[in-house]
Amino acid sequence: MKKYKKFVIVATLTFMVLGSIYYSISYNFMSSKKIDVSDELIWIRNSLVKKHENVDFEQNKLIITAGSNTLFGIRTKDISESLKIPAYNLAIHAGLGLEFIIEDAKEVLRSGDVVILPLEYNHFYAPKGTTKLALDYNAAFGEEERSPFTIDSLKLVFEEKPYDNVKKISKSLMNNKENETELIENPNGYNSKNINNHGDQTNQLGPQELALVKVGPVEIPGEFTESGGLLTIKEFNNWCEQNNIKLFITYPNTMYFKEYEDNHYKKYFESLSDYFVKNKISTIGQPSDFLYDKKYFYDTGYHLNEEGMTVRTREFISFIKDLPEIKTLQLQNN
Amino acid sequence: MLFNSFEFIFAFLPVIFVVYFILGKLQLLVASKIWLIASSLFFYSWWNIAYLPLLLGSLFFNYVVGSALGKEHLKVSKKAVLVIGIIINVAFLGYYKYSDFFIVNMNALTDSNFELLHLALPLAISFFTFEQIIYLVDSYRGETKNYSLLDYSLFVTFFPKLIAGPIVYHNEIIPQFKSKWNKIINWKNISKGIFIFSIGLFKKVAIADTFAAWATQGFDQTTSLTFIDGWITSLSYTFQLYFDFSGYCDMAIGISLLFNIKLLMNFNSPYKALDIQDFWRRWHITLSRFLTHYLYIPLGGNRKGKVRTYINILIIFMVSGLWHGAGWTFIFWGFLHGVASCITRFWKTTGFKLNKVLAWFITFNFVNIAWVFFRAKTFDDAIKVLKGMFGFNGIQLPEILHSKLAFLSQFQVSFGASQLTGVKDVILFILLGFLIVLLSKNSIQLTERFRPNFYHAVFLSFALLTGLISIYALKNASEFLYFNF
Repeated sequence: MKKYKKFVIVATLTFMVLGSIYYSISYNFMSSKKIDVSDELIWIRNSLVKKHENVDFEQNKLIITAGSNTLFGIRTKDISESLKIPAYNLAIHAGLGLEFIIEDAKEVLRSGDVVILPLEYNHFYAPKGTTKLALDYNAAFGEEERSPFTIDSLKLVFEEKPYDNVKKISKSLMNNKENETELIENPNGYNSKNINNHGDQTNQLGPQELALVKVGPVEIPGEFTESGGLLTIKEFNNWCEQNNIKLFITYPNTMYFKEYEDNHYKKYFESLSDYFVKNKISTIGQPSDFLYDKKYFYDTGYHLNEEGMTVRTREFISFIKDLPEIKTLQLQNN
Repeated sequence: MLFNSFEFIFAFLPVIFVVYFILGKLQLLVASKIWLIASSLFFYSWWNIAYLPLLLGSLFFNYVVGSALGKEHLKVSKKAVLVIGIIINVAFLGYYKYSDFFIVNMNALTDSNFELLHLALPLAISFFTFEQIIYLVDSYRGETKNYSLLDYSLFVTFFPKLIAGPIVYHNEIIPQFKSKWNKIINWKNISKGIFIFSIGLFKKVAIADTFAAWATQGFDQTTSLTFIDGWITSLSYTFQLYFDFSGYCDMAIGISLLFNIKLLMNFNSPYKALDIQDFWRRWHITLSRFLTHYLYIPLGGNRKGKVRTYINILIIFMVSGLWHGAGWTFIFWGFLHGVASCITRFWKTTGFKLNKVLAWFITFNFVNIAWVFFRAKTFDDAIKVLKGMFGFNGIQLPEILHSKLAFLSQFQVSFGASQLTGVKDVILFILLGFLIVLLSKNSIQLTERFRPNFYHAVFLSFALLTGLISIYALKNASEFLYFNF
């Protein structure tokens, strides 16, 4: 029996040693930017660089940001032309998580600006914390040195499945990435070349029928609670107030389904609205104001095609044109 | 709570284990059993405490009926009591699991519009109901030994096998708990238990959950599939189901061993089977055992002529299909296996023998194709996948092969991107899947060969580490496929 007891001890130690080796190798690759960067991250990076480069800091402006529902949903170029104010679309990918989206917005926001967040519904009930995609993005392109002993560092390594991790490291060893300077986007995916100088997506023509067949109503939780996402919004609202920036929360453009008439959805949407009122967070419209017919969608239940984007933007302009903060921006810019 | 979750592995299990053996060491044997029962009920309630009264109600009802049947003299007919007991168990299962299926079909047949009940399915109901029916029948036969309520409760609720089997007999479990060696920490069992648990965890989260993504894409997220995508989809599910369920059973066996309880093996390399009868001797062994002993043999088995034998076989498999799910696709899956079993039985009477490779090829492909009905939510979804598999939507090869195989275009072969993401990875995983199921030893064989040496320490550590990282990476602990049975 002693040998079995010894076995358990040896196995435990072996487990710890193997775990440490795995972590050390993975962290070394990921944090040293040797890891092969995915097409998705390259697109995000190129798009964000382009969006930030186009922002004019000399005037107070309107910033609209969220995940890709807004990238493919609101044409800030139309807002700019219609309301005669500088307007920019910083939206890119909901998978980056709310904290990333907000931190990215903070880089361009200045005192006197207006920021509108038409957030995907999952942001309202997601827990606090950095998403895997955001961790990967920061590991690939972030400037900060990160200690290997932080929670984010542990998440960076352990939120990757071992097979995917080994694949990435193998690919990096074979590609000799250090010599590459240009981030080349996959020609078959989304491309930052299709982003105009306001940060809006362009060229998404017609519905992609095959992709839209299996789209269904958005998922919402069984019960409304004050999630990490809502707390993050509250904190951002406070930050905006302290910095003389006006924040509005609004709702994403998404495909209409009759399920949204059910009590389950109605109750959740009402609870969201009540939460924002109770916490003095300004909102624009109701969820039901931004539900659209399938014909206006491109390839997912959140991405509008060009025609849909025109319709959505026109309606959105009617929501915001009489807001005092927008009128102030108009006065400042004329 | 799932076995493949951090709260189970690092909180629940260590606490239960430590307290159980402390109580055993202090000779507080009744307290140790109560502790295990309470822990098992807590484990069960973790999902939804609303289910708990149903489990307790079923347990007490069957204990009372079983005890009555175990008496020498009863005022009423024992057979009547047994029949009523079984009917109530089946009705209980039927009400929660099959009401809506019955209503939907009634509405379709009679053109009516009765509302569905939308009843939540109590966790593990199929498993604990079958185990207790076994107990009732054995009580009637005088094969139970006046178990105390405590022992009976522990048999029904023992958490490693409570949720999704293996289906165990009372006389396999209760004597083990009564053994004096049960309350003493056994490092050999602990070593073996952790070893097989690690293998099961690896199979479930590192392999099955990876295949699940591709199976879901193919079955649920596409409108049509080409030839290669169709086979990728079906094979992904075939491997997902095996690694998921056998991985779960390995974990159940491993956890039980920690408590010095040996559960029966439930899988014995089923994809190595050379015919359907062989397959069912290797797949979900304890379910086959139950259906054979408690349904097939009471129906007459093979003792009432050929025709009746074939009818009995069909009944068994269709009941098995229905047990797996309240849907016609499940029943049809069972029917297919019943027909295949009848054909195999007839074939064996002819004396002809197939080449082993051919026999394996036919058996594996039959099983793979039948799983399509098992997995598909509707017949339309099943036909979609099968159409793809048999080339009705054309054969499409990856674009990268176009330059080398362009001549195939004259044979209606097209080139383009797959509808499934990560095709290179899934093909690699499928190849690995075949290597594991066909060429390597299964987890039970590995455990039998287990020795407390450095090789096995590394093997265990690798499996456990990969499993734990995969759990974290998958974020949301996924449910066992047999969870809702």
